[in-house]
Amino acid sequence: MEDQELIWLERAKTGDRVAFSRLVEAYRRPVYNLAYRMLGNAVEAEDAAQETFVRMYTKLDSYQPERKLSSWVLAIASHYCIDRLRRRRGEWVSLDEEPIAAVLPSREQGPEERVVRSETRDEVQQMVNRLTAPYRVPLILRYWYDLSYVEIAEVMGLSVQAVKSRLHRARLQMVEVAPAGAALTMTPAGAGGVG
Amino acid sequence: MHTEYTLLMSMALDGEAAPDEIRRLEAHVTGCAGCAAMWTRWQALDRRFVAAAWAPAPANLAEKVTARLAEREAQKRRSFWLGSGLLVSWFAVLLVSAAAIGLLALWGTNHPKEVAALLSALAQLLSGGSHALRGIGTLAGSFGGATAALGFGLLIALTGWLALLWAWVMGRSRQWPGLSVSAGK
Repeated sequence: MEDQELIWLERAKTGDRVAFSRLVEAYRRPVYNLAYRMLGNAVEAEDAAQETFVRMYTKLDSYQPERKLSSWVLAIASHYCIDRLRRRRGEWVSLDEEPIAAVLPSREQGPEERVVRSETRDEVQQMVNRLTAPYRVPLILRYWYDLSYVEIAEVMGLSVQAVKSRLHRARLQMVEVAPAGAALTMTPAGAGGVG
Repeated sequence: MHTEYTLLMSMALDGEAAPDEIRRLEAHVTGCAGCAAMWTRWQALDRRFVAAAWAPAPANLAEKVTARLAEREAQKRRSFWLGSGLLVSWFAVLLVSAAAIGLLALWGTNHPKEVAALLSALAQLLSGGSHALRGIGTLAGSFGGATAALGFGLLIALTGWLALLWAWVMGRSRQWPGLSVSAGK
């Protein structure tokens, strides 16, 4: 897949818009999800995703092949979203923003499971919304993209130690800012051992 | 709660803790109530996050990106024409001004009154012309493109030239009393 993407990238560099559209299609989901999780609402997320791809197009020549394409694309998206969050009044996102996830169909079949799942998404997004921008990115990359510390460090342009520290602080901050009872209640499975 | 161990908890949840670190953490949480409570809370949080799904992306994102790229390129072209129009206009005005000043300096030394009358008439003509140009510029602006850019550039350039000319004329008004009367009207 990566090879095919590199071919599209080379074609896109020469101005081939069809090839670039293929790249957009390939990274549509991860970029949009990152933007949505970072910004907390669907309208801003779509705008940020579009802007990410426009920036990607204008920076095609600066892409270094030794770098993973996905890391590069996610780096553009995360930097743009951080800038956007900084431009907002203060560092905090309004809690009145209604996350789209709450009304989206889930992969579960049963209505009860669907409700539980959407409640989880809603609650999780609310917790992400309460985090300051520098802590959102590593947390999102860790949970939704399953990236290792090294990969997160590559995307964010940080050291592995900094990523480790930010994830630690993000978790501490989440416990501090989480709404009463949200995701923090002890469940039977939650009382298990390490790992 | 011990920071050293909360850091280990975070690493363990991320799958980045070494086996001996995990053993150390396990040993600690069995004897520390504060860290045990935190560990339980973090594990609960972790499960919530792992269960959270991806936000579904809009299906027509690629088309919208293509449209946005086309719009940006059109903007770039407009900016280029506007910049070029301004540059060309200012350059033309500079040349014409230099030529006019040169001629006036040569001829005007011996004919100060004629020069004063001529400048006054010219300034009034340009003043009226600038209004007309502004109207043309607005009209051209409604069509967009290079014409509007050039028209706008020309308007600014001519207005600037007029201002310079007036400043020059007013600066010499004491030497030419005849001109000060017309300028004061």
